[in-house]
Amino acid sequence: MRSLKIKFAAAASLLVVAILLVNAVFTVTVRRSQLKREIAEGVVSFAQLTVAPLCQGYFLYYASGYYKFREIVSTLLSMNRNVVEIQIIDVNGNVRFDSREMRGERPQAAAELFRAEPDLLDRVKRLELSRAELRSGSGGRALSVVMPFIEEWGRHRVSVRYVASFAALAALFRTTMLQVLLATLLFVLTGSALAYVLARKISDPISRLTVAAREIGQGQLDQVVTVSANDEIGELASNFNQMTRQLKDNMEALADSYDRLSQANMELLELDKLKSEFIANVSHELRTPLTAISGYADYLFLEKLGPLTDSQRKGIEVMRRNVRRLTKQIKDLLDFTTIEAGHFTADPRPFELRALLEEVIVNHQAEVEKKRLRLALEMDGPLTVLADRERIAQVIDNLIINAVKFTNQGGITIAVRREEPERARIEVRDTGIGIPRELIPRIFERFQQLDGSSTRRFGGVGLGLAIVKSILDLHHSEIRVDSEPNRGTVFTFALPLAAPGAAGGPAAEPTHREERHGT
Amino acid sequence: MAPDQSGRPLVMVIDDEEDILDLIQMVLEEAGIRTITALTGHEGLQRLYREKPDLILLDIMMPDLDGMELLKILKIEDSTASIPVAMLTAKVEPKDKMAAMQEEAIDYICKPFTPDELVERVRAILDRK
Repeated sequence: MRSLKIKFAAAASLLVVAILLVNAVFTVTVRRSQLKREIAEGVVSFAQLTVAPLCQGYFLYYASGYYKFREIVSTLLSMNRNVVEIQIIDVNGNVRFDSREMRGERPQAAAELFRAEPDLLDRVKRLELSRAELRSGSGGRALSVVMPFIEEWGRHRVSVRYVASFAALAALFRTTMLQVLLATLLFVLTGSALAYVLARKISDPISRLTVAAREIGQGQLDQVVTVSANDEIGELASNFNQMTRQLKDNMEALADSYDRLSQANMELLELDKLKSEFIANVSHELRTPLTAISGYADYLFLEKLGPLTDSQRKGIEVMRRNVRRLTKQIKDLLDFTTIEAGHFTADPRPFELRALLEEVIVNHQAEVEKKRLRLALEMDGPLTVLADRERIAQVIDNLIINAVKFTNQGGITIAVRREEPERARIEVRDTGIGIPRELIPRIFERFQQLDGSSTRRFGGVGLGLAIVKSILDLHHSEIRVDSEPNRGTVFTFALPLAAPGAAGGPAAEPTHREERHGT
Repeated sequence: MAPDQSGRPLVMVIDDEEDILDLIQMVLEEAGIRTITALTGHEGLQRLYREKPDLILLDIMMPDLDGMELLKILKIEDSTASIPVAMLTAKVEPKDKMAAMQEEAIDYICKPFTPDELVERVRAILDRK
């Protein structure tokens, strides 16, 4: 990340340099044309002032006192440093004098002069001052001014050509540029320093805010950023601090709620545990009297205590059936508390499914007959499955109880099929009142029955199917429900077949074959 | 002093419920098994040394001496360690059953039981001896 300070300073410096450069170019251009004009004007006045003494000196002294004339020329030339050459040219185009002679240089031939400046002869003949710009030999620009010398009675024999150099301009340009560069440098240095200081004033609080924000992000909410400035950044900082305070308050409130919630949750868990223990105790307490009742009822029923009349037998039968129901409900209740406590376990061992189903079915035969229903088993031959025998008996038992409860005509069929790969599929079908589609997902919830009134009509506390699901969950088996109101319901689940090598497997195999032969 | 003159096996039932004791005694006697009863763990312990039963049917939840405690005592004592003990209890949860099996109980019969089931299981144990 590039610091804000550096960005600020760089931008400010660039801006300053650009402004200074534009200013320099503008200044130099203006000064240049101004100076050029000044030089030209200087040369023109110089020409007007010096043409008479020059030419008079020429006519007086050139032939006889050449040195005197040279003195005059040097004196005049020293009066204007811009004038570098003087030629006296007569109207016939002859160069009478060239100041180059004085420096020991070869005077320029007339032809040479006229080639460089084609209109020179015309200008020499003219009676007024004329000027033209030249490209001088060294490549720089120069000014040529031609001034006629008019004698007292108006005779015009010669004119003087003055050549002024603009060399001073270049010097001026150099010094001006140097000044500008120095100024620029100074500005850049001070400007950058100033920009840096200014940027620091802006970016420092921002850096501190950044650090504080990072700390807050890591959960340290005790952050206060002090910014004394009374500007937008100061406002940002104060808002930031307020936000932090708010956040801290909220976090504390949240922590507080969390504490209270977990406290409440602990209490609820404790209560739930007490409830489970209570149910377990109740179940134990109920079992002992039940044992006495059922034992004596069984004993009476077997006429071990004397012969029974038909109505006595019927009464005892009712007692026995209801004791069984009560026992079953107590068992469900206890199982359910075990499931809720997470202590529910299954101990899968190979067992023969058909025998188990027959055992369970026999227990329901009386009730089924009482409701004038059929209860049938559809199974080809024995199958050895790997599951907890007692738990699976409970599953079938609960499914049959459920089916009988909700079926008023027709019957219940338990169908078992061998299914690849190596599974037994068990279906419990009834022709009962069915379950509306929208309620199917809820039937495995505890204490759930189709509606409140069904508890009254059909009895039970709604634990049966919840226990079925828990047991099958322990077996990693999923239970499926297909139902159509007034047509019936089918519960389907699968159990793994015992591997042939498993304990009980080899024993079961021959039985299996014999049975198949038999049927 | 078992077996008695008739050679019939002797079963001792320890349960704090008199009705249950009566029922079990009735059922077992009917099946030809000699039965004696004790209403508390301590009473059972005292009678044990005199009677030397062939099988003890033991309730778990009892006020004075818990069935599991009694089972441990019996299995530690050399003179009683060889007597088979079957639990006969209303505690039907697997964890209780496991605990009893770990203490070398020979069977675990859950209440309520049918008379036939009881006779069948008692016979099975006695026949094994």
